Amino acid sequence: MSYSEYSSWVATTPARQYQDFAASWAVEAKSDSKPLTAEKFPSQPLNGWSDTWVAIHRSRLSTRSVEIAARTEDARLWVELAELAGKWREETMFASSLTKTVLNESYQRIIGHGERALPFILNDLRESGGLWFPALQAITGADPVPVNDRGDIPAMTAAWLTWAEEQTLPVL
Amino acid sequence: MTPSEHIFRAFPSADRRLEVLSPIDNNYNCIAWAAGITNQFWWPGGRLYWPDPAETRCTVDVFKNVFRARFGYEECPDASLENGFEKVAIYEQAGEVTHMARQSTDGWWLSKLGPAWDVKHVRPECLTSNDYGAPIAYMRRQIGTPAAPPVPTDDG
Repeated sequence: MSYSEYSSWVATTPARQYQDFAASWAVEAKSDSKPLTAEKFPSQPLNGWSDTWVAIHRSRLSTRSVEIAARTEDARLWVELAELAGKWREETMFASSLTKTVLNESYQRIIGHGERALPFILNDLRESGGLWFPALQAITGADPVPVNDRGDIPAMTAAWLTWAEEQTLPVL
Repeated sequence: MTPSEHIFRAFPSADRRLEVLSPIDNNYNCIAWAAGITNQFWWPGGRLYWPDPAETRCTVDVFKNVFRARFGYEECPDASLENGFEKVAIYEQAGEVTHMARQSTDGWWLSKLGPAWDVKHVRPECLTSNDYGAPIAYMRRQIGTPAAPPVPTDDG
């Protein structure tokens, strides 16, 4: 695909279609017995503007996120959660209020997926950080953060990831 | 999109002289920053740090009480620069605090924008927005006032 064709495609194709493409691709990649290669998960155009790269780029998901999706039981759910998390971050980019951060619609939709969302949340917490603690608490009912560590984001993150390891929850 | 483009889109009242002072840092928020803390996220409710761990309300009075008891601030009528004093501004929307800023010695205001950047802006009203509502209360203390020790928690 040439750059002008790429530009035209980006301009005329709805973002949702790219997300569907990325999700479908992740499902196909998962069922493919061939090993995962850099060509499958290009971080930038290697030989022209591949459909795969454009789809991932346009869906606002990181290649890492789609790569992980391909390894999960439910790749489509993973892509949906990644999209919701991106929207949550964008919409709460300037929010200091924990109330606003947690009541955000995308954040609530992620919590709504319950335990199925845990691998995604734990992975995102480890990879990107963020105030996932109320979501984890709501889904699991656990509260592994010592009182004296509250507000210390690296310590809270470590407490939850250690807890997940002890529960043998998957962090990919 | 650059940091400034993100900021001016979210805060249309911002004066174009607004400066971005830091990279994104998710380890502290505006309330901690107003208190001079850069390694904690402060918010009432028991999930993050708050000087009074039992407090769950997010009203202006709750925030005023903490800055009065813990840091020696007193209420004052406006955001003007007063020789020998430092000030904080409290923003509110729909009955809940949304943001705090503190005054620099040159009269400009310093804000941490949620989990994002530290910025310097001319007036508190520069951040009036759908995200933050508007500044509705101001407090001041003499420069050099020491902070009170933290309230002990159950863990010690």
